[in-house]
Amino acid sequence: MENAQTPPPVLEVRRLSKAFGGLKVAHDVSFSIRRGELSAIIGPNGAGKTTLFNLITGKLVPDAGMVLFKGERIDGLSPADIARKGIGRAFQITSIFKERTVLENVLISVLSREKKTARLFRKASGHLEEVREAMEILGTLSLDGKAGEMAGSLPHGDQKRLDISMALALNPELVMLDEPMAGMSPEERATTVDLIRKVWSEKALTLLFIEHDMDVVFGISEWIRVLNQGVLLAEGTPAEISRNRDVITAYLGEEIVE
Amino acid sequence: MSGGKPGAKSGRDEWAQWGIALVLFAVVPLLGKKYFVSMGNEILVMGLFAMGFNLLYGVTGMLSFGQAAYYGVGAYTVGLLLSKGVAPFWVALPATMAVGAALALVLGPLCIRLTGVYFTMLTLAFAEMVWGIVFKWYDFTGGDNGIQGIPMPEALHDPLRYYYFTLAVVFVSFWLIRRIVDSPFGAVLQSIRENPERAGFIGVKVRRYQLAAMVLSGVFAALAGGLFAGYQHSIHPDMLHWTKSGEVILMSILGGVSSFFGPLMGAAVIVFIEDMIGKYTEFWEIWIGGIMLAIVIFFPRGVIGTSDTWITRWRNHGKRADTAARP
Repeated sequence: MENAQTPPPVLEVRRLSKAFGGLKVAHDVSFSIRRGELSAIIGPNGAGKTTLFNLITGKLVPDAGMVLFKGERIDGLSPADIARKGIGRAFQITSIFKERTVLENVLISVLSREKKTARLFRKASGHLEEVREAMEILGTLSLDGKAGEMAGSLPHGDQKRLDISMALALNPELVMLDEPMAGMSPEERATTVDLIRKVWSEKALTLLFIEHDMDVVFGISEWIRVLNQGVLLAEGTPAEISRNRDVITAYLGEEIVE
Repeated sequence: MSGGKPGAKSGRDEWAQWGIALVLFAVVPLLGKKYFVSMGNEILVMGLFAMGFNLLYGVTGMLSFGQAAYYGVGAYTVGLLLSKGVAPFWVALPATMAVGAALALVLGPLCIRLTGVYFTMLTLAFAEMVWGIVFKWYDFTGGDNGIQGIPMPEALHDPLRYYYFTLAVVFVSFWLIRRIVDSPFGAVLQSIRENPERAGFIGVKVRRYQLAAMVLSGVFAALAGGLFAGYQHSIHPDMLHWTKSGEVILMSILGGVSSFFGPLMGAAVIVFIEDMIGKYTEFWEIWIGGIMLAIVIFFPRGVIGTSDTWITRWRNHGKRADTAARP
């Protein structure tokens, strides 16, 4: 299953567990992510996919187990510290600054990465190099034409893409997207899939995403992990997953297998 | 940078408002009534206090009910340093800012552990403690007697001269605050108000910035207190009382927290009402209540905030057809 030569994983999750009261939302989950991998996490609603993202990005602290990013433990760190180490995240429920312009949303992210947010007297909009970079990022997600608009006034699909842009602006090594296509029209989905794949290959990112659209998942993923009731049920290539008996009974149903 | 509450309208509009205000404040005392000078001074001082508060509330989204502590401590810094002959006014006034910052660095970390209404309650509780200390510590602060006869330098004895000095300090402070809000730091404060969780996920250490906002707000509140002490030549523990903290909230919301001109105008309205109506009836609070009610109903975003919205709407009248056509 592994490549012949194995470079150190970008992310390694070891025996991660978390319970809310009696409910085990993550149970003994272990996996690792290769550098440059484009992979998906799938599973039924309530399987613990978003919880897993929250455990990795510092919103939740695991009860047991550890998370290693480039060999360094990051579990227990704050979201801000983890973001600074190079993990960018976009959200299932779009999380942007709605009362600011599209450009400002991304600009704040760029300035944060450059550690220039403690500057008190120079205008934010006068940081031309950062503005240029923010525009470039917006360009890769086809949002540059809307840079001056209020983020909250954008249509849903554009807000989702802005959320992704803010994560990308951190220049992260690992990008984690939680249902990036949720609520989009079929056409928006198609363009967004293309954009995500393009960004992934151009920036040589490692990309992990949660998605319910199986056409997307099986269409672009190199590797798929299946979560069910907080347990990692299976992982493998799309071909392997589509043949996996456990996965079919728990989640996919028979129709996916021809 | 536009967008966000304190920049919802273009910065240029706010500069224009301030330009007009500067001319008005500069001219009114020349009309010759002593009474205008003292009222103008109070408006400026309270306006500065309210602007500092707005940096915390309107910009960063933290509702402090304890800003009077910083205001009062600023006043006592001037009062004590001058009356005990430790330092001249020119040293004491800048020292208020250091003392305000120091107090925020002590109380801030304790308050920002909690958010929302719990944060508000903590700020109130700590401010009451500071008030209690000032009120009870007769040997040092003079207790409820306050401090009278604060010796001021010759150059500032004349009330009119002191008024123009205050005017300069307040307008320079406004300029500084405006710069801060437009800076990357200010952008981060506004992003924290809007969505603190997201701010964290783009690498912003939220609490550190909240503390910084408290420090800056404390600095300007203390400076306002110091200016007040210099004008009145006497101070009193009432300056630290929770009603003072309430007053500054009232002023900001009345004027509108979407700009810094709003809080200044809110201060003007309240000081004016207190003075004018106070002359005719001792029940001026009832009038304030009634006027507040009218403002909340007719100016939901504050006097300045709502009239800005009207102006924008009027300006965009022609464009509205296209906007409406958009899905």
